[in-house]
Amino acid sequence: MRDINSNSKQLPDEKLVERFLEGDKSALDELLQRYHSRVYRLAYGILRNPQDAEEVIQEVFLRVFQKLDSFKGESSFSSWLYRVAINTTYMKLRDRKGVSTFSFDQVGKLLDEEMIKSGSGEWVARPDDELLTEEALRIISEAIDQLPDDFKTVLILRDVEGLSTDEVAEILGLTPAAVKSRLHRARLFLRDKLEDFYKQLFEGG
Amino acid sequence: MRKLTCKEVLQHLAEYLEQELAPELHQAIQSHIEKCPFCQRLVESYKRTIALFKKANHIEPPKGSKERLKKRIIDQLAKQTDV
Repeated sequence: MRDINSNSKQLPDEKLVERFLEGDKSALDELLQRYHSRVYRLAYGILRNPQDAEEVIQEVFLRVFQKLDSFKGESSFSSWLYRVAINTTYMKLRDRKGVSTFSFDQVGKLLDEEMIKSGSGEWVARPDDELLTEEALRIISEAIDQLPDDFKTVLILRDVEGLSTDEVAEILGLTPAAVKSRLHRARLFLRDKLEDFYKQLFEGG
Repeated sequence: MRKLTCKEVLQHLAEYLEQELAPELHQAIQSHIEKCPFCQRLVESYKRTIALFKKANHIEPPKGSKERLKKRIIDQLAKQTDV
């Protein structure tokens, strides 16, 4: 797997891990710089609660750095870190009740329903800034809360963090086809929830 | 070129936007979308949904979070070394 942050001037994550284990504390700064916000966004995106997300990132990084000397490099450091982050976030979820209200099957049905529900009225493009309104963000936030957690995870890793399908598949232990399927169905689910908003946007009410 | 249905466009939409389809299928979808207002709207709303999801999740950790974490890691590792 490629290093997510790779550019010619940056050391690979695995090299930073080596340096850290040799006592170079600046390697810790760099690894935190690369992944602290990413892990926070992942945890927050699933838990939807800043305090829980903060607790999760503390737990994740403490666990990872505690076990760093047992990191074998069989997968990339980023995959390993994301796996710990996802497991820790899911454990946090299990401590809470009534989080996910939608099942995998219900989301699956949306592919067919989508064709029936979507109108085919006059389509008029509007500027992007009009889309990004408080109302649309409110609607999508409510819709995100209804998505199953494993769908949220795929969406965050692909659409927010920009990981490739293969990277997400490796992290989650899924086939690339399964990642693509979940991603598409999750996007369609959210799109469906925004249908009234789009109707107004495209047809002017 | 084979004519596609709107349902087929929907099924392949993510891969179409990622340009992951075989050239012939990609071209067939593109031609369909150019002529179909329903699918034009589908594509536009699909792309906007992705943009909205990104926007809704564009969150940064609270101020001082990284520094607190770094301190905890260093303290924890120091304890491990002491033991």
